[in-house]
Amino acid sequence: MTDEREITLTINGTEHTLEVEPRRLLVHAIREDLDMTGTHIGCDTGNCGACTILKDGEPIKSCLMFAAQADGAEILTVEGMEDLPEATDLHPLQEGFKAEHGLQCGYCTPGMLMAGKALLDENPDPDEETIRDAISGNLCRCTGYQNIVSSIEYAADELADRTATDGGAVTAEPGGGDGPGADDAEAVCGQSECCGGPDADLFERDYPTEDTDT
Amino acid sequence: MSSDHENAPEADTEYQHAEDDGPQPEKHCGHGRGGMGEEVSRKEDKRFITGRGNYVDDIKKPDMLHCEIVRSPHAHARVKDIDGSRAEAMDDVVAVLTAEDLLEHDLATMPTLMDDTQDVLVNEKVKFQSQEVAAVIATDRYTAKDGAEKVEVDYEVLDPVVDAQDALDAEAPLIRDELDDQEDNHIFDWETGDKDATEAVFDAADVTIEEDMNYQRLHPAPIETCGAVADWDPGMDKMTVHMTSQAPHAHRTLFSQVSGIPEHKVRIVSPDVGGGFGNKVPIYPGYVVAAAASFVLEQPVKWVEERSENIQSTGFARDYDMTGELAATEDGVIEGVKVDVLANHGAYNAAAQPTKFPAGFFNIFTGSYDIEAAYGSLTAAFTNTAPGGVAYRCSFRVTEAVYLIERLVNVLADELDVDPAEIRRRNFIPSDAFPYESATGWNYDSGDYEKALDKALEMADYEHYREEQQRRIENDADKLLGIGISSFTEIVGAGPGEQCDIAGIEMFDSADIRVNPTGNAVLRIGVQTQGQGHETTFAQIVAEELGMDVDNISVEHGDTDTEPYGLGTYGSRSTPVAGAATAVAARKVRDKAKSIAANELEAAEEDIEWDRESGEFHVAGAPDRSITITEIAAGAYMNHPGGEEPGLEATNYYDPPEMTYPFGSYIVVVEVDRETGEVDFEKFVAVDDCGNRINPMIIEGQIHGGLAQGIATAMLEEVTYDDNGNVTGGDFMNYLLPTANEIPNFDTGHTVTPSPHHPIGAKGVGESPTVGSPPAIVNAVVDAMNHAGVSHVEMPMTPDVVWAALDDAGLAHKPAQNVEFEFDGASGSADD
Amino acid sequence: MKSAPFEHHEPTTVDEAVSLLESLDGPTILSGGQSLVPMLRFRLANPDVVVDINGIDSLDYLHEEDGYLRIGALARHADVEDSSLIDETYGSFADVAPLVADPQVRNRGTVVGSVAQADPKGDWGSILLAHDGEVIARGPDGERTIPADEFFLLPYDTTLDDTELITEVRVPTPAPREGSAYHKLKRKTGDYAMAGVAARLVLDDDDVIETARLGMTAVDITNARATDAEAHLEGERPSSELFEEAGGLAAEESNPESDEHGDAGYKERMVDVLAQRALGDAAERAGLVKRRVSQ
Repeated sequence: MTDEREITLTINGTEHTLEVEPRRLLVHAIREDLDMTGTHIGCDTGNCGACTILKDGEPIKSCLMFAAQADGAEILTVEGMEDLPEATDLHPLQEGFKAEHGLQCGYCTPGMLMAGKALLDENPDPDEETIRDAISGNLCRCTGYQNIVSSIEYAADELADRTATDGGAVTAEPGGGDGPGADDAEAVCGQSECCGGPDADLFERDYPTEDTDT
Repeated sequence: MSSDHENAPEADTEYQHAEDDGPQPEKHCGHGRGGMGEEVSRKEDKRFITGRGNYVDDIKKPDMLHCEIVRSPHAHARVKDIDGSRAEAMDDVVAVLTAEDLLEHDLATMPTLMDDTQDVLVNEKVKFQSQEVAAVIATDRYTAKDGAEKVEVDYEVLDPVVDAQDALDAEAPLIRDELDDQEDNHIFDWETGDKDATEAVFDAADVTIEEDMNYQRLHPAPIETCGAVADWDPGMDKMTVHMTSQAPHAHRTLFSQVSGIPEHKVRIVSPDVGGGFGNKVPIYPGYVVAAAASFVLEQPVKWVEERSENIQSTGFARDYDMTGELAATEDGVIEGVKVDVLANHGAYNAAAQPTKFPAGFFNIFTGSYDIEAAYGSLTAAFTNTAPGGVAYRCSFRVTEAVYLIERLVNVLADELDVDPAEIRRRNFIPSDAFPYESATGWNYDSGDYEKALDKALEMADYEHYREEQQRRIENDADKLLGIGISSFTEIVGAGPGEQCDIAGIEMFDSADIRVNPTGNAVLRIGVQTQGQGHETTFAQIVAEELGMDVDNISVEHGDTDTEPYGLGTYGSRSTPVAGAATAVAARKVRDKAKSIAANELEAAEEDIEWDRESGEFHVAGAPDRSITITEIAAGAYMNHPGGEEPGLEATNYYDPPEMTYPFGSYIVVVEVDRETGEVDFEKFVAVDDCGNRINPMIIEGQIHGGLAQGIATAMLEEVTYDDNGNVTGGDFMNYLLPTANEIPNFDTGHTVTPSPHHPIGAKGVGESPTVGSPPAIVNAVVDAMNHAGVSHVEMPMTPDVVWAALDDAGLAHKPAQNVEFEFDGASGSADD
Repeated sequence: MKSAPFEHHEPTTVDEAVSLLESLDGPTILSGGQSLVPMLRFRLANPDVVVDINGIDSLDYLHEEDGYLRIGALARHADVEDSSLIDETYGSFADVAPLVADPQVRNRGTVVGSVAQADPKGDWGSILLAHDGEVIARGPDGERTIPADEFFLLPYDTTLDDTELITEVRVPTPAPREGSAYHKLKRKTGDYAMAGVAARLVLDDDDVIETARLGMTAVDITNARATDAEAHLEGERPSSELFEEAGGLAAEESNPESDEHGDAGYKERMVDVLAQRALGDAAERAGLVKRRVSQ
């Protein structure tokens, strides 16, 4: 049946009915038929994970599945994160990626957010090794992963704080995580001994010049 | 290359005097407004974390067509016939384009960045596997692919040659037979330094060492591939191309030159770019085909590469086969360095270098060391492989140079039995010797190499690991420890324009600041972010210079219709060049604002002082009588002083007087499994010095990312070919990008040695980690085995490669090599 | 990469699937799709008809029944990873599941699909071989049971008939004194094995090895057993010396080819190393305690 067939996808809580050829990849249906371009494509082989979405709660690569196979499925994409119950303005994972500098070019980020969301749904308090493994199906060329791990840890802490306080309301400030500068109250500029360093005479003015470990 | 600091633009010097004359505030960092040194969270993040980014493949236009390129399965073949009729007969296939069609529009070839001429679609002969042969334009991408499958190409297969050495053989097949004067596969020879002086030093030296090393072919492999949406507007006679471009303005000029469309009728937009790393500096045939198709069909045409197309046909990096030598005294003082390189440039000379530097800045190979004599020679060859030689997160071959010298120094240390840290210390350019002119003519701006090394040694707990290493050797342990150091010097921030140009365009850069009547500002820059955070860091420079809140400054880039001309982002040049332009433009704004301040404060202009701490002008001796730029902005539009132009804006085109020389010391501790050859990272310390720091959070992110790429280089990645010219490492199943499981945590630290010639004392930083880390990693792995005579291991150091080195050195272990086990019943019953 | 067009059939019962396989021309079975979809996208596979078995709910199981651990055709790698059944008793299963590809692929890819794919670099074939596993296939003539030993023919080729559907793979539930393990060497997460060895040991009451099995990955044209090594182990008591001999024999029995994963000599040596490591773990999981006898 190479003819198009009608399928129904519930994406981020909204039901969409569309006609697809059997060979149409789920990622193309999402991006091109439904114009939700937050989910990306980075390879042809299922290695990069930029196309990761949650299908019925599980992270899968939407480039390794045909749209017709997802008929009737509940799908979450990055566009739906702000509307999740645990989100306020942004979802804690989104806040974490921003607070911990967990993204640079942003291309892998939606897939990383999905992988992180699936992990925290399963395991609200993952250790570093678990986080690294949970995102090991997602390639990032920019960050070296360290800050992505911190971003997910930030979200885990944030979600735990909310549960501990009142089960939902957001009280923690950005910076509740433990990454660089996140909870460093003195760090207006992020450096502990910021001013009056050497070499001031070289310049028009002395920008921070001291040596600080981060 | 040398030039003196007085070449700095006059305006810059002037402003420097103006500031020097003013009172110096006691504290400068931050001010809480998001200026220099503050960890401002990124302005660009929100759209990316919410799925609202706008990358090329996200662009959808009415009636947009899709382009699929038919590529050659052969590495070397004559195209005898192309029959597109079966494709053209398909419903929804709009056109099939071949070289013949492009010839009609004079678009069949395009210039490379090194002034070679590359077929857009193969005219007569295929020169590398996956080369572009035809294009199918259809209403959707599936049909375009179906059409491409139906294009029949009749090839006469020729013998290919993929290895550069083989290509220079007299018997080798001639790849570029379309070039009149080309009788072999030799492209050019290049040399640097003083050969005679270097030979003399070598002849007289106590000690010489030599090592062969290959810097394998890599691909930048950003997660977003290359692509374009070309849209010819026949009503306006204007071509708009949204494309994955690291250099939109340069691409506009080249597009105009190739297409004949006047430049003011070409608009290049580089929207959000999903990583570049040098991959998106050149122009590729796909862009040209999409534009040609749009022009012919008068509809928008989208072309987006698949991953395998990206790796197999777009610009590779490295592929240098190097032999390096050092001459030294018996005390380990290096007196001379020599290097000979064979460079594989692929089927076209399409390297991305400033025009006058065919080998890029490779002649920085004296590194961080004060070396009396240096000489380098290089031969470049055509092969039946993809064209390239791009600067993959690298300032034009500095990566190869740093690898060479940092490996050689270790080989010398081994030879003399001197600790690798100590031998570096004995040879560093002393901190009081800057500005320093190297043996190959570079003028280093500033540095304090020993300080960075000392800091790294301390952070790494170096002595402890040395002891642990010895203990393991004595115990014949199954896991050996290796400690590697790299004390690298980078060279970033090309221009100056006099020396550095791309296709004739001098490598300056630009900034344009417009302060609005309501006191906020827009900064437009000629460089283009691919994740480096320009929208934040450049706003911080303006915030610092104008005392404004960073939230009130937006940064625009990537659209040639609105941004000032710039040469783009690569070679870590954004901060050194466009960052300088931004600071200078901001100072021009401030200068103009001063006269308005005088008017508003009813004081003489010479009595108006700028207080950087408070971000205000005030009247000398009367700090209460003050005014901010935000307040002044209104005056510029509503109450501007007589004799002055209204408005508050300024533009600067900055031609740097000199490059900047960031540096650092990396220390890597690895554990090598003697049974399998697997390498684990025990510790990874990176101390960087990029001068004054704009946003420490972003700098650290850049370091992490570059270190991961350095690990990828050292451990995993290589674009490989078989003897028939088939790419065997051409997708993400075979070109191995590391995942979070392969990358360790990094300990980062920094020192600050400002650049003396940069308006804000900053240097570039994005590439230091990619440049500096591979030798540290290789040094560590070699160090683990060097007590048994191992002096070198080639990259990528996959387990089989490391195991072979272990085996050769007699270090390979079998399980239970030294310890025998029995297995008892849990009750101990079997242990009779 | 975009697939060529194909007809998509979605049977909901095994009978329906089998009759489709029989009636259609050159159908390809789609289960998890984690290997097949890339092949379709690269147009390395261009079937006119795809029979998608994901709708056959009756094949979605992983349980112990009648002396077997039974893995239905729709059980995903992640189902093995997450199953409470899979603990030390099924040591090799616990070892292998998290080593297959990456988390998203494990959520979709199936154990049976991986076996059916018969890629010599696949892990599950070695596990089945080491566990005396069986492949249950349904065809027009009913059901048949194919011992794992007789299943793999060539890379991507098995004794399965085109009209047959694998409904299940199964292994006998472990004996009381049984232990198994899988060791795999790979360059990075998501990469296929450079080499892998599954080991299973069954001990008698005197701690003598009654049954030994070794299944090897990526070192022959199919997943393969190391029968000489197995024979050498049986009737002996575990020791590092014995395992070293067995590792050497397994290496000799392997037939790796040089490729991007390393040269043949290296892979042979790794068979030796991985076999010894896997045997050591298997012995411990069978209830023995490792004791140093020298140095």
